[in-house]
Amino acid sequence: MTESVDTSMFSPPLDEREEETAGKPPYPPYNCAVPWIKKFLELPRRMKITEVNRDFISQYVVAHNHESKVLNAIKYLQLVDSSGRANEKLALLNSEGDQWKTGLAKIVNEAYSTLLGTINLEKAKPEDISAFFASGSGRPNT
Amino acid sequence: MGGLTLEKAKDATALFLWLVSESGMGMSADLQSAVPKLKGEYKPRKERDSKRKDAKQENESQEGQLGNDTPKGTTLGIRLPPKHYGTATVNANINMTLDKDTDIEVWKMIARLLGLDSEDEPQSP
Repeated sequence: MTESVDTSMFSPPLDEREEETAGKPPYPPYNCAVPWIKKFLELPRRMKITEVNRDFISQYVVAHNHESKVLNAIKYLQLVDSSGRANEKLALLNSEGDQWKTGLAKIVNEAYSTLLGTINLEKAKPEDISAFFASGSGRPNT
Repeated sequence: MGGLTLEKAKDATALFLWLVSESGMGMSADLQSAVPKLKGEYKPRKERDSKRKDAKQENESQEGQLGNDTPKGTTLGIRLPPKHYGTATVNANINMTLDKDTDIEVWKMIARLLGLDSEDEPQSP
């Protein structure tokens, strides 16, 4: 008689899986504090960014131990590729005022395309969005 | 594989709403009220000073309105609470002995407490 073994118990915890995932993280960013991402999104105005890694984050955004949270958020927003190289979307944020807002809107529209294609933000309630993320619908290719 | 836990989904929602808000995209009033506010967010000094001035003027305006509703001569120069704090009723029993040695200012204060106009205020004995 062959016993089946549940291998899922050997899987790394959720956070580690996200770290390992190449490209866009599978889950929308949830542990990146707003001030951190705000700080990062304002950086392109002041400097040309070619690569973003943990060292860069700890140097310019947030201190030790939180780098991966910011890095995952940046990857989810597709501002850098899986290896951390900055792309043309990040350059959209090298602007001010309405132009900066338009650039950010483009980034948000593309990163959260599944959500925005499903939920009408003009009518939605916060719990609609939370339920959407909790359902797993916010992940890429779902 | 499922999605985020509800707590994490709420955190993800907060970040998403902040991004939407910053990008100027439209959203419902319910969503707007859930956009996280940043503590200690930098505001230009001019804007902060302007807000303080507005708040002070509003406070003084409310105090003035409250003062007008109060019978003349009963405020004793006491700074009344702004109207939005609600009104309070104060009951107090004060026992005082007034005689020829009582200071004139005390006589005047008692006169105002009794609602007597300054013209009608009693002369000190």
